[in-house]
Amino acid sequence: MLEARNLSKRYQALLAVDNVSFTINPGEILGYLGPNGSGKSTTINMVVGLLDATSGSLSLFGQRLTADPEEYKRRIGYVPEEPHLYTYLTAPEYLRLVGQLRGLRGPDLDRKIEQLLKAFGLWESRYASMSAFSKGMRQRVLLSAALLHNPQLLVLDEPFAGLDVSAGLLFRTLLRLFVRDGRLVLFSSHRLDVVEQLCSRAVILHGGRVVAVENIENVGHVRGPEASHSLEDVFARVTRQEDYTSVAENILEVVRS
Amino acid sequence: MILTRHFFQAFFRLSFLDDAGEESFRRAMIGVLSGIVAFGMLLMRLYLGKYAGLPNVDVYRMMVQADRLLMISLPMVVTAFVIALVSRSLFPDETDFRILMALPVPRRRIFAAKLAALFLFSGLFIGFANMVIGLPFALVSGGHWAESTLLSRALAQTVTGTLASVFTVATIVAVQGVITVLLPRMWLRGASVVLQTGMICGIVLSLPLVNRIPTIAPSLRAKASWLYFVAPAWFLGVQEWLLGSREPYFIRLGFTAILATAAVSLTAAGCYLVLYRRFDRVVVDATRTGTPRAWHMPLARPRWLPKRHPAYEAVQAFTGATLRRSSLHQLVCFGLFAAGFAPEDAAQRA
Repeated sequence: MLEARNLSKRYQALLAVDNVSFTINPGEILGYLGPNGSGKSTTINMVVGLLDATSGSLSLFGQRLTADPEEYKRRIGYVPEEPHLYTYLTAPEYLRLVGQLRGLRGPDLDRKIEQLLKAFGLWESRYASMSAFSKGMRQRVLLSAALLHNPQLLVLDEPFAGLDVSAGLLFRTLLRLFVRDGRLVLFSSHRLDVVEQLCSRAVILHGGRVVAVENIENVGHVRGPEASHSLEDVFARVTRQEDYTSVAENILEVVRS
Repeated sequence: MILTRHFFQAFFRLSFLDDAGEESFRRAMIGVLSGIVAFGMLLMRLYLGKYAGLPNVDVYRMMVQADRLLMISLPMVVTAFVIALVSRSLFPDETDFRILMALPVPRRRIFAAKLAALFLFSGLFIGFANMVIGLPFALVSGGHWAESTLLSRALAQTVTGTLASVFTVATIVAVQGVITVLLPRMWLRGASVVLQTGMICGIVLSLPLVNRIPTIAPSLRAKASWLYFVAPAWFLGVQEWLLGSREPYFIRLGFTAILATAAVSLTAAGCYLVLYRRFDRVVVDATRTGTPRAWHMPLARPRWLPKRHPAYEAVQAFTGATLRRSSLHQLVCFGLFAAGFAPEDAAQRA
């Protein structure tokens, strides 16, 4: 399991993440939610080892990040929100680079790359540099790179951005099957409907703090039938979102003026 | 090894060009390299004739020193141009951070690989430039009045040409490094673009001056003090010392060369070290949260100008914003300006 204990990240005067704790149990997809600027991406950057936490600890199946960062990262696959890629490379070249840096070698790696590219519908574009790829194609390359080494934990930051309907369905099915044998997924998204469909629990962040940890299947029961039923309502309440009707009316007024 | 190869290959891909632009750039580079080879062969032929016909040893000494200075300067210009083109890739950047730091690759390996790739890349061009320009000159500049052996001339030329080119590379790395380390992240991109454009314009504009180096032979003979401010002259001091001269003037020049090379190399190494320790700060992209900057504000249109169609004004605003913010457009505009101005300047001086 993944254990994040009292994680904090401070940038000079700004406390971006404040004492965040959560766990992901074997076979679980944990939703990680929060409005923009709530500290979601900072936490994810700490979980994947991109950023050092100011305080707190992270361990994956007992392996502490600070004890052996390389061994810890070897067990993680990461799909970032922004498709950071060496876009002058082709998809097989990029996957080969990532695979080799993860210690994979030879014909096994080539075979795996070919099979993943075929499965994700990228094989036909194998000679094109990724600068010509759409955002959805780049997301598929990133997911292939994240899965290449058979990770124990998959960390996904807005993985459905830019994906068409069929690719989105494929991703969702893939994630459900991925956790079947006890692996973990940390799933950060603004798409509450997708989180509701995929995740068993959701951690909601606001102002760098955990403001709610919800069991998705219990959301309706916890809030009661007279209150709200959906994760969307819970999210709006705990993160103190604005009254969207008045904002929408304002926008229309501007458009009509 | 994998990372070094990756970074080395990435140097041949300019990040600010698209695929077609990169292909054109690669072809242009091949053309430039072929041009340098042809130029080196032409020089060899010219100097063979020149040094065969010199009347006495005094004229030989005067000529050969100025020509050696030219042969030190030309590889410096070639190296400076190439390194200036890739100046924004001299240090690991945000893309490297986001891709590589999430992999089980230690930070020290990323930096070591980048540095090794930079050594290989610059070494390739330094070696090439000195091989096709400096070395042939050393071979043919003996004539009837040579005061040193062919081997010592070739060695001295190779060592000083290489040292001068290393100084050039280290200077560019140091300047880019100081900018990267000291400037706030929101200014870094703009400052790097200005630096790169300025360097390329400077190199193009310096070509007429380089062309005039053989004419400064009398100044060299008179041991003019203004040559202390001319970087290639420092390395001429090293070369003269290697060839046996113990004149205090050349020793001082040579000492300046060693000191300057050490200083810029240490600065470049220091910048690498500081960035190594602060690498995670590149993640915090202040440009997304910063206040609007002057060059991001639309230019105010004078009120006295007649109103035009909105589409015309939109195109005008777009063109203005592109020229103010696009590094590629700035580089092309200023590069073309410098390329046009340099021959004109040379013609006027002539």
